[in-house]
Amino acid sequence: MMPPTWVMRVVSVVVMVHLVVIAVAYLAVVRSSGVQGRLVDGFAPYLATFHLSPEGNAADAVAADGVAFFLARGDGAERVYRLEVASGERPDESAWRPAAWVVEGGSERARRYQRFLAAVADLGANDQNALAGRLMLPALERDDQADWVRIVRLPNLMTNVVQDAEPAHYTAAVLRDGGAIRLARVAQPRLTSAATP
Amino acid sequence: MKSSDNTIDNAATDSAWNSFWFGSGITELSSASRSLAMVRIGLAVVAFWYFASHWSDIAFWFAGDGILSAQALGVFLADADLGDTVQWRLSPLYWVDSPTLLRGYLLVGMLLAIAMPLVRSTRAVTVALWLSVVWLANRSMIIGGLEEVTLAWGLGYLAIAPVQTPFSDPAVGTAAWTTTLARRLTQIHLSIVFLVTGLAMLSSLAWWDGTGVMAVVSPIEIRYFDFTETLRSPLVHESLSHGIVLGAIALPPLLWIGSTRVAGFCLAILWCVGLAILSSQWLHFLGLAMLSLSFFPEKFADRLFSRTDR
Repeated sequence: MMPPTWVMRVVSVVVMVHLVVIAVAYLAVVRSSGVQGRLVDGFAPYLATFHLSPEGNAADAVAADGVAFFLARGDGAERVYRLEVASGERPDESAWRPAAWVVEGGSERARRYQRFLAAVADLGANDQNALAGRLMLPALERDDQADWVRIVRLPNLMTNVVQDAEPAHYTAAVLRDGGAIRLARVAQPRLTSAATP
Repeated sequence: MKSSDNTIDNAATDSAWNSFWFGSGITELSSASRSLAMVRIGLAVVAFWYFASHWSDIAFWFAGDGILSAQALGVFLADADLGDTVQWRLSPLYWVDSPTLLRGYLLVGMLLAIAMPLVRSTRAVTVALWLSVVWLANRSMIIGGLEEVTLAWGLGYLAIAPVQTPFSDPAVGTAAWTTTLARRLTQIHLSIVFLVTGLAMLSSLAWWDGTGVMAVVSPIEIRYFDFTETLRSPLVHESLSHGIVLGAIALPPLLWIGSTRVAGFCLAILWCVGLAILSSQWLHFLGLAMLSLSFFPEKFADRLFSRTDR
């Protein structure tokens, strides 16, 4: 049985608006135009409340210049980070160990840790040290053996030698004072041209 | 004049548009009921898996002393000046910081997932499951991914239709048109996802030069299976990369054209399961596979669900 005509008309309008907004939101994943951006922003309460479009800074979707679908760009799928901690005075390379609380592997659980580490690494790489520290701090309060912390990107088949030689995206000293704890970013040497003295 | 009005009304009621969205033909209804019943069972499994995957860590992330506790997250968002961006990520879970209550929420979610295909007297269970997923997804800021989005829209559309089994008789009355409407919304949304995924892939050189699939399998630390050696041959990984892109773009027309629907449906399942295995992104791609059941071919359904007792 068909619904009354007025119901069909109302539902048709709602369905059309909904599908147009969804299509525009999805089509804006690579790089949105001004029109797309304004439409998506205008419907943000609807899209966000019902979780209808991908998250902006999910590690599965590159967020550098807009949200991209997983698989849409090779670089988003490639990045794997490891959180490492060290104890004592300024540690050498052998002193770093993987943080025990980070789950690794191909599970959905592990993927959530990767997204968290990617968010901190992105902030660190963009010199947003205070924000990176904000995210890391609660984790380090649980690990009283950690005096140093860093996030390194693991190399794989698709990364090149320049990427593999990048310093850790985020390195910080853990400063403890009684019950209080804070992080101080440690500057890492940046890659320079061989011609630069 | 009256005759003219009637003609216009009849034309409007019987238009192809209305038939498409609110179709009342017995064959159409039977097909929609069966396919949505299968989607419902499939998404129930994925939703159960989603809640179960949070079980070990939910307190670690969201409890009062968690990494992303409401307080810690609030301070971060305020410092980052992101308050306006995320203000509509509404969820009651921001007010819950007890590990016991958080686990209780997951338990309720898992029970709702089990109940959704079984409780046929009401849509309330589906609505409750949909909201449970949406609220947990909105709470999972920073650590959420595409699986939440897929589950949210899939369950949202299922909440429109009445609950039926693949063996049920087609719905009657109000239930009839809501079944067709829910199926059409699912089909079109799924087509958009396939098409945009394929088009977005083309924005990356990796999918043009044939190394896209290597980018997917190469981070072996976060993959269940290591396919890097299996796919090392250029012939293999380049062919597979091109096939994945072409598959994503070709799926919508193959699924919508009646004569190619069987091929389109088989390709959709193969595409989703293949990428789930290659990428370990199980919940997202298996969710899409389950939603592809909304295109379940009639001839398969007749063989599977024909009742011999009638």
